[in-house]
Amino acid sequence: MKPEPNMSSREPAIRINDLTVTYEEAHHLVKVLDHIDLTVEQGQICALIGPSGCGKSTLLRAVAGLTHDYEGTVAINGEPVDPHRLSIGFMPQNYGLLPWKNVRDNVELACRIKKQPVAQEKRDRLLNDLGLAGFEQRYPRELSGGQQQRVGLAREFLLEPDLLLMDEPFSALDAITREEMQNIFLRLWQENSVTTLLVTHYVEEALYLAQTIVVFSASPGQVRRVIVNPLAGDRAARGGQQFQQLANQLHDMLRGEVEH
Amino acid sequence: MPISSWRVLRSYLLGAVFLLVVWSAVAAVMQLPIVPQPWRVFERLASIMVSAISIHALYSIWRIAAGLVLAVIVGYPLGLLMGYFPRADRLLAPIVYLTYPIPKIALLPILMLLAGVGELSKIIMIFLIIVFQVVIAVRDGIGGLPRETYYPLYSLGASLGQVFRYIIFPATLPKFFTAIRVAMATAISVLFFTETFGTQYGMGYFIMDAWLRVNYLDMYAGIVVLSAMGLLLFGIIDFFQSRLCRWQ
Ligand SMILES: Nc1ncnc2c1ncn2[C@@H]1O[C@H](COP(=O)(O)OP(=O)(O)OP(=O)(O)O)[C@@H](O)[C@H]1O
Ligand SMILES: [Mg+2]
Repeated sequence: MKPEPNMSSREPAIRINDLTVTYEEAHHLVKVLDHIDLTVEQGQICALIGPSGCGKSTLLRAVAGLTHDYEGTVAINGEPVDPHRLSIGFMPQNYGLLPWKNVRDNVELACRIKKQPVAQEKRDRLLNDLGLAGFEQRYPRELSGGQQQRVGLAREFLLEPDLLLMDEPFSALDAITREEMQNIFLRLWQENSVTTLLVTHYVEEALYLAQTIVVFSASPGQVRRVIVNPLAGDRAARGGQQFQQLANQLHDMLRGEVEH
Repeated sequence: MPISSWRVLRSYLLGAVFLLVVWSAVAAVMQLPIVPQPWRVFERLASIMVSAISIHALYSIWRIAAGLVLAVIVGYPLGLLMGYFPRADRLLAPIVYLTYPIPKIALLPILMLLAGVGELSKIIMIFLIIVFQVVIAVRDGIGGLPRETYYPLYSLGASLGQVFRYIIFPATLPKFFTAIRVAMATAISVLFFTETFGTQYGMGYFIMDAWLRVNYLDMYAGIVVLSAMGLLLFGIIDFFQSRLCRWQ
């Protein structure tokens, strides 16, 4: 690796060492994450995939600084997680829109929290690109799932956070809308390559979006395998032979079959 | 005015007409001075509203407003504390639950001994009726929020003030208004009761005084004004709710 002039840029965006999380459940402790080691390089998309209940959301919460109830260390740009200093965009599975704010206010929310001036031109361009022009005054309940999702994305990309965390961002959408949203996401992402950690249940989604795919095993959640994905962001490769091969491999892994 | 507002207005008017027709019919059947015809009551109302009733109405409105404002000033922060901080809730919930079911009207004798028979005891009475509703509404409003609601703000390092402004305040508004509306009905009836002694002013005093003077038209005029006051208060609450909770 060639040396970088800037210390912090040499640091991986996310470095997780020996992360263990235990929950107390009905008077006994349950280990949810077991000695997780994980790094995500600057400007990369990393997908977490694994069986339900293996602790993916828990991991995301730890990285977002939403919980400190864990053993081990989580560092962002080489420093402990500090939501006050960093800006961490967190998109929960329900998109995290505030029902009492209209589309415009929801999009501007992250900037307002961070006390950044709202770049109005950029906001309007994002709303336009995401097909939300004319919907500015609507409230979330007046939007379809896909539209709500796009509002969530507009919020994150208006802020341009240091780190973007998304928990099953496209899961609640139908297959066609999901694919559309993946394309929209990639297009926005390619503009400023914000480091992204996303949880998904879909092998195809992980392969299409993420440079790194981390496969978890369940109870307790452990990193089973880290896969470097050469097909990330390659629309043409989608559905191709190599894509299919990798997808099958991932499917097998998730089914718990022995891989070679 | 949008169509929906017209519809609401029309249904209210229809309701009022219906009540007047029933009233008129009962008066026609009974033929007693204690049930006068509505038009005679409204005639009287028109002639004494400004000269005799308005001062009483103002007194009653003042007492309700003062009790309400006090209840919000005390109840809202308390509910906030209990809803947002589990530890505060553990400490305060028993106290609230133990005192909430006491019929507030039963405390009136004690209140009058402590705060006198004048303004203060009447206002405290209204305060007591409304404050519990506010505390519980705000607390449950916050408690009912899924944890995920906060995540996008927490992950950006939002301050407590921002969390309040962007989440807690708007989220608790609907329940808050509902609580006030429910408490208001009780508050008005209890106010009527407390105004029958220790004061020369207020709608309660006016109505009971007219009754003692065997002036049934005055009495009915007072009842109509009291009802209109209730309607007005509900209208104001509804107005603010529809303004501030447009997202619902
Ligand atoms: N606050 C909590 N208290 C106790 N147990 C919890 C808590 N949150 C999660 N768990 C448990 O931890 C385990 C992992 O939960 P988590 O939500 O991280 O899984 P996940 O991988 O995101 O699952 P899914 O794919 O279904 O979303 C589950 O068994 C869950 O029951
Ligand atoms: Mg999850």
